[in-house]
Amino acid sequence: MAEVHQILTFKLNNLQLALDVDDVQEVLLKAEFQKVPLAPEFIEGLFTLRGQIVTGIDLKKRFGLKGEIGNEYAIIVIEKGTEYVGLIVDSVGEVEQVDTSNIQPLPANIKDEWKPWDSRVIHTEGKITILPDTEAILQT
Amino acid sequence: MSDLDKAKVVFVEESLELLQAIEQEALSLENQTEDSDSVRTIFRHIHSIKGTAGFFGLAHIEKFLHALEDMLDLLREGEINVTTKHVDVILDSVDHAKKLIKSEEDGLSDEIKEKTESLLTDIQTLSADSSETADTDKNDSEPGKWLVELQVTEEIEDQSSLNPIEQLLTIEGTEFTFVPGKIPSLSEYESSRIYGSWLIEIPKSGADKQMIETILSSSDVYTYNIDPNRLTESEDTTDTFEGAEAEAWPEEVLEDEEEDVFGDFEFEAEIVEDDDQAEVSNEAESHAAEKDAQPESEADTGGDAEETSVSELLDDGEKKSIRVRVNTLEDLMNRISELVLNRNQLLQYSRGKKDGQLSKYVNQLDKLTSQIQESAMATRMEPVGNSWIRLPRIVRDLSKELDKEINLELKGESTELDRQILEKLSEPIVHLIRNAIDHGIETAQVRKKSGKAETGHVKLQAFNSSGNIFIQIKDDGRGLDANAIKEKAIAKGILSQDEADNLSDSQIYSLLFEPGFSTKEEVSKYSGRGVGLDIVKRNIESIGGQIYIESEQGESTTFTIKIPLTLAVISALIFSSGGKKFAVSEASVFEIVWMNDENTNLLSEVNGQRLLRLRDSLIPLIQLDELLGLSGDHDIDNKFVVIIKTASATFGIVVDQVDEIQEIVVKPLSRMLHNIKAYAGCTIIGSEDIVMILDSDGISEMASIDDVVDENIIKDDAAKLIEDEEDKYLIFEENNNQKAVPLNLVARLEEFDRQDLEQVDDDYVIQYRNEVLNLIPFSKSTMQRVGDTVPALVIQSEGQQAGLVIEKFVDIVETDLSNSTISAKKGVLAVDVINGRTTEVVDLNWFYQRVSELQVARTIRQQHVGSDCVIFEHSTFLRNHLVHVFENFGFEVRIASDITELEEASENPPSLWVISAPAYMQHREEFTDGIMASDGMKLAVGVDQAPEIEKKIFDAWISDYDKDDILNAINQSEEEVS
Repeated sequence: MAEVHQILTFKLNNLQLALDVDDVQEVLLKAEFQKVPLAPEFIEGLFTLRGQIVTGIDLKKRFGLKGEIGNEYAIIVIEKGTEYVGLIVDSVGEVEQVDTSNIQPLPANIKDEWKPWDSRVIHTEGKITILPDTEAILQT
Repeated sequence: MSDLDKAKVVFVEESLELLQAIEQEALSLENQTEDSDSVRTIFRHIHSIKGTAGFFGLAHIEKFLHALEDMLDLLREGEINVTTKHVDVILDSVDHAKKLIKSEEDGLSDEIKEKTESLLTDIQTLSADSSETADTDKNDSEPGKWLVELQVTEEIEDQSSLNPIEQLLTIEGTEFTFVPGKIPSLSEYESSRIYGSWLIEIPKSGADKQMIETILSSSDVYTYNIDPNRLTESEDTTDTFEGAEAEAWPEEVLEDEEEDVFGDFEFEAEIVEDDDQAEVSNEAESHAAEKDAQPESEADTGGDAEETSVSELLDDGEKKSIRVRVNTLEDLMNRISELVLNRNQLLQYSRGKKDGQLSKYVNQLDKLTSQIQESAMATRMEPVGNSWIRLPRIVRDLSKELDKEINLELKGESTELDRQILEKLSEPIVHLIRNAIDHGIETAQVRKKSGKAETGHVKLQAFNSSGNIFIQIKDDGRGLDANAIKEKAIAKGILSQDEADNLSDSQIYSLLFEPGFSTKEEVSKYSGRGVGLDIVKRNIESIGGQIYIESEQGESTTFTIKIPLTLAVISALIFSSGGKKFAVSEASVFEIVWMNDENTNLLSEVNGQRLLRLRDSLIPLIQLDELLGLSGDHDIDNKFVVIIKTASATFGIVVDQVDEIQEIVVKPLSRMLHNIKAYAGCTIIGSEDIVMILDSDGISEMASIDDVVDENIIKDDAAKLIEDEEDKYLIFEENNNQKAVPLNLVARLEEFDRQDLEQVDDDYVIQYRNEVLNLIPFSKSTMQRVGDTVPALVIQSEGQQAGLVIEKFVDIVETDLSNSTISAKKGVLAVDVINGRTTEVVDLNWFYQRVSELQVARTIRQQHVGSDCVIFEHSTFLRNHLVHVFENFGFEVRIASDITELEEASENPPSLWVISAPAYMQHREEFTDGIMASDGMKLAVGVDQAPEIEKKIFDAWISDYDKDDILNAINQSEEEVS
């Protein structure tokens, strides 16, 4: 039997992306961001979550995509080592099971802009889902 | 893991600790060869390890250590003298024993086995003779015969490789004895190998040592030792363990020692057994696993963990510590950090509530939390000296190798540092010391020529300063050649000629931290390969530290490592700027200046840099809102200047508002924010506010103010307190002692007529300039000593004024007290001699406290003037106490000492009933409707929890008789009524 991988899908504009479920701690629907002076533009601000400080990242800005955070958004909270990061996305879809064999390297016809994020893609029923690497997102 | 295995793990750890201790002793032995205490200690430790090794059946270790022990025995008995060679062999043996202990017996490499043999030979040689040359010809303890031990180590592919052995056989009288070794299982068995060794006895008449040597050296399939006679003896004794012991030890010592060794063991094993989940065993297991996996690197890094408890363990031979997994500690620390946060939130909440009972409990919680936090913090702290234990050895080896005489001085070993940080610092420090010896210190000849002492000096020092820990490595070597560094950097293309010309010396020195930079021409084994300083810097920066270089060419080089904010919880000053709150470590805050109209004249500007003249220094100012790109008027009028002092600079941050000093939990910043130099971390204040913690050094770097003013004369904090602009003091006499107060704190000196004074408790009030002035006697007896005229110092603070009653005014003097002895006595700042008399400089803080207490008391009194109360209490003592309390609150007090008096009182009901709970309980049934129906407020005292029915009767109740609690209770119910 083929190995199965669990992903959480989400949207940025009309792009479908996903993260490894193991990386995801929880999903929030709002937060009070507090700006950090001098922070890079893609850092929307910090917010508190049960006594922890989470760094909110505007994922569109991080990936260099157009558009602002809308009135409705979702925050995917991930925990990496000692740091907590909230990725702000347009909306969050479902947890899906993917056959590992469907996860492939970035095809040549996908724009170069996804390369710095160590992205891979998932082909399912003609759809393409981009699977960026969380570690790459957090790299400076 | 069986119990035996667990015990074995403990054996490994303990033996390594003992070996580490031996190393220390051996080093001190060298400096002081007559030190038989050291020899005895080494002997004892070796004996302990040997004994336990025997217990576990580790015969190879036992045998090896036995030989060493024999040598030590001779040294101990004074039969031979300690020489450098002995120390060398002890040190080598320690290293080797570590390896032996860490590896499994059957996993011993040939290399290790060979080393065992060669060390044994050395030990024999040194045991047999004390003479420096150790001439082997004198070694024949068994006259007439050479004893050769020979072990075939290689595969015998060609029988002729054993020819030399046969050749020995031709010598008449030679005897061969085959000693079987460990024979492997059939699958591993190789027929071309010989599993065992020979003992060959050769009559001296047949051959001399040289000849045997020549014969045997013609083949290399075996290793051999000539004349290992003591060894063969000791081999015999390993079987008769008892006998060997008796030989080496007087009987009573032996018994003690035995008990010691095994006593410790049982203790350790017990801990492990008591709790299967015990961290102890987990840690031990993982330790052992690590060691198995990489014995080499473990040996290199020295395993700080083991070294930690050595001194405690050995000092008095009893265990004062247990091992706790670092993760467990970390976990505890994190939870405590959360607790602190929670406590802060609760504190803030309770302040808003004005609930006396709540505040009381919260205050207790506050205190406890701080104490817990301190203790937990202490568990993580370790003296830096613990990780310096290895250094003398490293320096010794290195100076021998390089043929340089080095004196290593260690200072401030007891300075404590977070253990994690300490571990990370260990390697960089070793590296810097190696650097200092290899690059810094010149050879003896060169030093002599330049008029220096031949022995080079390397000083490693740790100390605390302004909330940071500093570690300095200083050598008195050749110093750094700025020009050479510059040229090399240009040659390597690290910077251009133009750039180089504009650099200051310290900037040039910091080029040494560039990757791939090395100034020493020839590469040595120890340093000079151009990898190193950049890694040192990276390591230090990874723990949030910084490193600087200072140097004087031809004189010295100093590396300074600064470790900031190492603790998870710090005391911080909170302030706001540009509409946001910020925090800065309180330790780096020197003082705060309010820029009101009076001191705008202290401002000046040089080259666009605003400066504040503060006493005798010029302090550059940084506009925080501007620096951080925040909105704001970027102005300074009526704002506050927070003066920050770091190791490299003193500067002022202009902020809008100063809030408070608070304990905060330092939370690390996300990696993505690390590039911003301004921040050291962040924290949560109150319920939700996220506050950035400023990094003082980063801020000064961003504002590039390092070089603006480097001559800031900032004195010690304590000296600052008593420093006066004009150094004028008011002197007065009190009970035949002379006291002083800084004159600038005294508004006026007045003399009052005693008749005008009104007494309130121990203090007095007087009508003064249309106000009521509180008068506080300097001491309780002051009023008895003053006559009809009462001298008082009128002191102003925060818009309030009060009078300090003194016995006798003496003088106003001008004197410099900045070098006075700082006093530890409460209420006294410093002590100095003024006009030939010892004088205490009074700390006015307690005075201000009294003033504010009085203020509160007066307000209460005013509230209750004209009110009356009835106190019902059987106990005379408590009744008197309550009378006193309520009179002070301004009540007119009536007493009911029994139920009859109470009923009488109810005919004319007071505005407040104070009923003691015990008295009430006793007369519960007799409480008349008259009392209960009266409008007066009813307060129960001395009751823990009021039963339902009493709740209907009483308006308020408190558990004790405390003045403050009573006041809170009254105030609260008065508020409710209104």
